[in-house]
Amino acid sequence: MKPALDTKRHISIGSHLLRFGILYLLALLILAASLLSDRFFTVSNFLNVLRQASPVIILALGEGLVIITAGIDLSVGALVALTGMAAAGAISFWGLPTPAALAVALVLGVAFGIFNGVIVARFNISAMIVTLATMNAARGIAYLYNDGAQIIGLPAGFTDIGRGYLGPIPIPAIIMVVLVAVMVFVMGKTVFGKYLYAIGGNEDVARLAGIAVVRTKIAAYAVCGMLSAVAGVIYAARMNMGDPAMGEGLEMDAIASVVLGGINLYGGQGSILGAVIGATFIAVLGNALNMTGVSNFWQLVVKAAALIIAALIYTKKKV
Amino acid sequence: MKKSLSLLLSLALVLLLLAGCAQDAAAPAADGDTADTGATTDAADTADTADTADTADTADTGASGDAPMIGFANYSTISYFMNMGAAAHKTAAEAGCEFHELYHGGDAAVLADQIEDLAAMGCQILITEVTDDQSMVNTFQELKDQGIIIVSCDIRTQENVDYWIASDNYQIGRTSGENAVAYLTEKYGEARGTVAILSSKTTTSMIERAEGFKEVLADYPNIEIVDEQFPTDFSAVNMMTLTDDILQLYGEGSLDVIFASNQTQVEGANSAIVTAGRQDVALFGVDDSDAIYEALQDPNSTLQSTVVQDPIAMGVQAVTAGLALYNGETLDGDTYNPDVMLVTRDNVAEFIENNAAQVAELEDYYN
Repeated sequence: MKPALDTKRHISIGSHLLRFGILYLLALLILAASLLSDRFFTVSNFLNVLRQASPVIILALGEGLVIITAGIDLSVGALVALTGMAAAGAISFWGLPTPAALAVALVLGVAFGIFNGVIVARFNISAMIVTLATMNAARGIAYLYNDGAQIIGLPAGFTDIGRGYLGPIPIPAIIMVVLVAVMVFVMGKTVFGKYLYAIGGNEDVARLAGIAVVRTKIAAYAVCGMLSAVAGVIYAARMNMGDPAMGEGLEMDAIASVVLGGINLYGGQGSILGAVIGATFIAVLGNALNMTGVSNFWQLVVKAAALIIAALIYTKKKV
Repeated sequence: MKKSLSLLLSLALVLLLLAGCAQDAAAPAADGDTADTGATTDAADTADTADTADTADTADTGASGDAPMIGFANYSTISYFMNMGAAAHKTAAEAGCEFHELYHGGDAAVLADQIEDLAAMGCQILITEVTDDQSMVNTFQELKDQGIIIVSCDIRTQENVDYWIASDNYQIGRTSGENAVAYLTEKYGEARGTVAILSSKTTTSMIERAEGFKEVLADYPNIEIVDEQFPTDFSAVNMMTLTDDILQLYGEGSLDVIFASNQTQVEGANSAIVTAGRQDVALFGVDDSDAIYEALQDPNSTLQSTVVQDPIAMGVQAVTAGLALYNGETLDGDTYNPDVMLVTRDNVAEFIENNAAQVAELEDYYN
């Protein structure tokens, strides 16, 4: 009997580590960085990382949603640029007030997401191919919009969205926390969330079970587009400009966050909170490496190693 | 299904219309006959040298003969390179030349493919914005062997090119360094303080600017360089994040100056400093953009100055020299070094006004 108990305990501890491995890695990272730099574990740096991580977390929420359906969205980084340009243009060129400019950006994000979703779901084309194409389309339109030039002249009411504080808390962090709460509720407590998991688990079975697969997948891409627009507005506000070059490579950060957070790239498994933790891990890792003076070249290697370790953990978990 | 198809077709139509609009905007440039040839001398005047004005006449001569096709493998779509490309485009159009422009984004492998593509298209003059002074040497030799004129723009690439154009990047760094020393001297009553540098190990121009900046500081033992960063990703967002962290590392009162060696570094660093409210950290930059000019006029920004080059003069001279060499003429030398200018909070308004007038002339020639 005794060996059986040991095995059970071993499996239990192993499962626990696999489930919460990224959290332990995050804790270890914070501990190591705190020991190596006396400027790391401070309130000021905590708020700094919170501000840096917020738009990436928001992108990861949308990317996670799509990946749970067994899809992928490579256009989120380009959509950050396009929606940032749209919001800035709405203010500078059209003279709209900030709330209306935000609405323009969000509507554009949703429309772009629907466009992605329709092609992917209705015509059953690989999400990677479709969003690779729309990534270039979004970037191209962002450049075309103002002949490749930046858009400046943004009012404080707009830039506060990226630069401002509510008390000591950066406004992007407040937006992020609200969106995380909403998405956790949607994924855990609503039928829509359950449908997304069902579609990602087995699309045919989901269809036979009466789930409106096409409509649900389109909705997932639409939400992803909307969240990309929120991130786009935050970045434009933080940078005080619409910039068609903004957000290059952010899709990779979003996907890496999702993988680090343990969401199955083949769909159907993983928690949306995992994507939040994954994005937080990436932000803290970058900050810790900067604060401890690690060269930018080594940072690439360390980040790659972290991603591989997470992928290995994930593979083990899947088995 | 029909609804979806209609939606897709509608969106495709919108995209085609947008593409069509862009082509319409560029159309006058492609037609040398419609371009105002009288503007050539005006554009050449921006180079502010007698040599340039002389060779601009050569461009007019080129238009009367068998005009060669000109290709420009440009760097990226930030305003600096866009202005350079538009100036080259305008000069080429005025000489009756077909002009093609591509952007490699700082990727040497993409650049190699692009210049081979441009050569395959039939370009007889190739203008290149190389990423460094070595990676394209063999490719250039192969193209020269085919009789193609190679003009290197913006980086001091001397090997296997027919002509090269570059601002003196060391001088750019030195100009900014002298300005930073003056700022610190005024702040403390003597030349002392702490400095962080945003540099590069992969882009020659940025390396040289940082070296020039450090060269000036080396004469002042009480000015300490406490940090130098060599990022691999120069996006403005990444530069902002990096500067966020530098500001955390060097708290209030422990860092006086940040030197940023290109446009995106300046934009990112400025955003980080403004967000953190760190009025104690002064920013000194290189390159220009609308956002940088706005920062120079923003009371919340600590950007003190930026050193700007003259991309319009470079673009004009690249085409002008290329055409002269194509026509078998001998130029005074194999290089052209346009002047650089220090733009500060005091002279930024005047500079913007002058610059806007030049850019307005290029309106129809942006890619």
